[in-house]
Amino acid sequence: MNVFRFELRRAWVNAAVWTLVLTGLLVGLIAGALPAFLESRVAVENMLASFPPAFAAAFGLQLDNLFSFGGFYAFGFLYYSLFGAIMASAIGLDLFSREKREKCMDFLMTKPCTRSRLFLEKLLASLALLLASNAVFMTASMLLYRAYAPDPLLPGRALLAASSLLLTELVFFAIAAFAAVFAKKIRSVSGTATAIGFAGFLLSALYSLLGEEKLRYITPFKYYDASKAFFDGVFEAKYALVGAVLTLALMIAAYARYTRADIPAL
Amino acid sequence: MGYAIETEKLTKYYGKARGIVDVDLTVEEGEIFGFIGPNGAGKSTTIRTLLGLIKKSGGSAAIFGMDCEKDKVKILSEVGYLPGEVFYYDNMRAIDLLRYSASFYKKDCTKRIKELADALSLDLNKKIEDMSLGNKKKVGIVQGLLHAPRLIILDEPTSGLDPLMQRTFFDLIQRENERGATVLFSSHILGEVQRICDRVAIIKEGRIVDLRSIDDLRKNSYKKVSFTTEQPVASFSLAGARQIAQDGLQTSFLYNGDINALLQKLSSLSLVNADVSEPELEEIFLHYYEEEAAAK
Amino acid sequence: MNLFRKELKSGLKPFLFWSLGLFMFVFAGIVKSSAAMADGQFMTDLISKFPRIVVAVMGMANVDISQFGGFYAVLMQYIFVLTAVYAAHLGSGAVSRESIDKTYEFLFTKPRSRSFILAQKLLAAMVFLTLYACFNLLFSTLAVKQLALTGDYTALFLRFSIATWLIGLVFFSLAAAFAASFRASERGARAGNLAVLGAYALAVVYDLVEKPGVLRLLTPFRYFLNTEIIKTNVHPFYAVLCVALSAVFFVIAFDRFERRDLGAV
Repeated sequence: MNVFRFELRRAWVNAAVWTLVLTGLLVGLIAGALPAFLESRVAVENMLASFPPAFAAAFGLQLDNLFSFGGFYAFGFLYYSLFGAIMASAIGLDLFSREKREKCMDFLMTKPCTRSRLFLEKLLASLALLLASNAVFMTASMLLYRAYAPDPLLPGRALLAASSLLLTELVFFAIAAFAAVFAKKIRSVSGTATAIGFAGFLLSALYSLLGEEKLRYITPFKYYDASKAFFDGVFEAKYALVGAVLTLALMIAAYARYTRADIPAL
Repeated sequence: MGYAIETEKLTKYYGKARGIVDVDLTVEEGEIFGFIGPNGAGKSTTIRTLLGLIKKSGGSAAIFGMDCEKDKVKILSEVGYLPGEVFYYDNMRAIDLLRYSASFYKKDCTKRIKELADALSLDLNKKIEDMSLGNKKKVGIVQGLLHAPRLIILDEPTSGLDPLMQRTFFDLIQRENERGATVLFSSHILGEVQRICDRVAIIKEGRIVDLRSIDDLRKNSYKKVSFTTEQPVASFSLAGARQIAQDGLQTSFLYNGDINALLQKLSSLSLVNADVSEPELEEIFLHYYEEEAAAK
Repeated sequence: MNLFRKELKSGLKPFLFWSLGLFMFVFAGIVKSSAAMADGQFMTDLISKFPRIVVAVMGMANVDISQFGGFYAVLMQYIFVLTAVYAAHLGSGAVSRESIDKTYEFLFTKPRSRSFILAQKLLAAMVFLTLYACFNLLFSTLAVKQLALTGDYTALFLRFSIATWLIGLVFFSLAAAFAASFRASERGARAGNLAVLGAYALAVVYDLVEKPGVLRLLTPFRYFLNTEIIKTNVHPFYAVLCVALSAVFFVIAFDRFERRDLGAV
């Protein structure tokens, strides 16, 4: 497991920083704004009173969802997903293109270790980082939930919603690992990771703006929808499946390529 | 004693472009085997195929009797590889990289690392990226040898090294060879091959064109003779002399024959200066081509 | 000017990708505007009831989205960030490209001063940045025509596009300065990205606080306030500030670049 340890040592600082930023944002948003937000519900209800009843009724139904911990949590999720996507992409790119970028493929590939094993150890290191990061995020989420959510508490749902970040990150990790193995050249890990993360963000914003359901198939941020998790207790099977299949397919392709490609001389 | 390396009709095509074609090589255990040829001839391709870095298109390759593709991991635990261009991870000290490298072999290499580093005067605590090319190469040498491999494969190892470093390097390789290691050594600098190899294969345009022992190559080849006389020599002729060239007072030619006849002929002239030497491997090598071309 | 042309060629593909992103965003946003504006009054009232932080994070502070102008301003908040990220990418790329590709020995031993070379690269990158801002204007105008919306918003678009360009300029020059100052190109790129993120965070804080005052100077995303652009124009002081800041950053970039050791990474 020497490769596992090596990769972990090289990549943990970055992951830790991103985790801190992400969790900081989460705590800041919820601790800082949720109470005030929930309080403003009264004002909104009053405002609704002055609207035609049919309209008010239609919107009123959504009020419960909007003015709940879940609603607010999901609202911030777009931004958590952005940071998480960048972090996960950076991990995927960093670990799987390290030797390619630093021109030492020969060094690693002539060690008495199958390529399968090399890939596996890098994968395990990546997963360890992602799991650790999400453990922090999910713990923070649950603690905030306990502290700020009004009764009745449904911790199961909260946990599911928090886990959607991990699952979304896995999609981006797979995309990045795929890119890392197949690209001829990776110039800058942080630059490419930011671009991948922002592309996801953009697709998500587009989906929100246009509202086309079909668009959801190419919106990785919405494969595992946090709000749906909170309100329905499950992810939507269709999209969750797309996310899972995409993740697996990309990783399998990356694995095949990594173990089979010729390594030409520099 | 089996062969350290044995390839049969080894072939590699990069798409349509030829890499190597029908390469037959046998390297015996314990020998130092040179592998020469011009740039682009296929030396690196052959080596990279042996190491499993690229997949062969046809033929077979075996190291210590094990198939290079099927038993790659077992083979690599006994092989040390030093590539021509040395790059390592950023932000690592030499000792960190060497320890990481050692962690792949199931033996304790700390003593060897220290011994090799001392022999090469390598500062292990310096960051690799801050090192000069020579020092980076030293790291590569230690990295290739620290697990006391049975087979050492060197791909143009002395490119970029100064003459002193080259000498140190070859001494090290020879010591490893005395310890029992086999060495496969590719180069297009014929002088170094000539100095330490037992046998040599010549590759050109993807195919092996000759495989001989160094002594053999010299035995059947020429002496280079040149001399300067007080008076211009009218017309110089001698059985066994070829490519006679005369330029004013200087005459030079290649001689293949009885050395006594040559010396007798020379002593019959009044010489200012005379030079009888072994030709460089380069000249032998090139000569082979002339012969072949002439034979055609 | 062969270097200039080569830089244009190599930057074309990324530029097209980013422009595609811009196009999708602008078009989708404006297409949605009609729907949003229909509920506009309601939305405005609703949002006014939300706590400031929520509104600030959504980028909807200080706008009236029942008006097209207000809606467009919200859209532009996201375009500003997008442009800033692209501009940072352009800036650090111009400085670090040869170091990353290890072709610096080729380029910097040619008979041209380093400053000349850097100037050519930055100029080429500026072409892309300027085109990007122009595309914003173009796409916005096209989108409105497509929807056959009433009202002439060209002036509004122009002002916002100029703001986009100016904000992009600041981050472009800042990223170049970072890249030239750090030995490891990866660190320089990260600094540039962090600057964008940091500036955005500050922008949100600005929207939160009652009397932000000095804070405005710290974040380019608030140099050009929605209210100002919609009612009048791009604030001249801040426009000049953008140019001045960029000039300073450029000077730093050129100075550091001239002096740095070109070596690994």
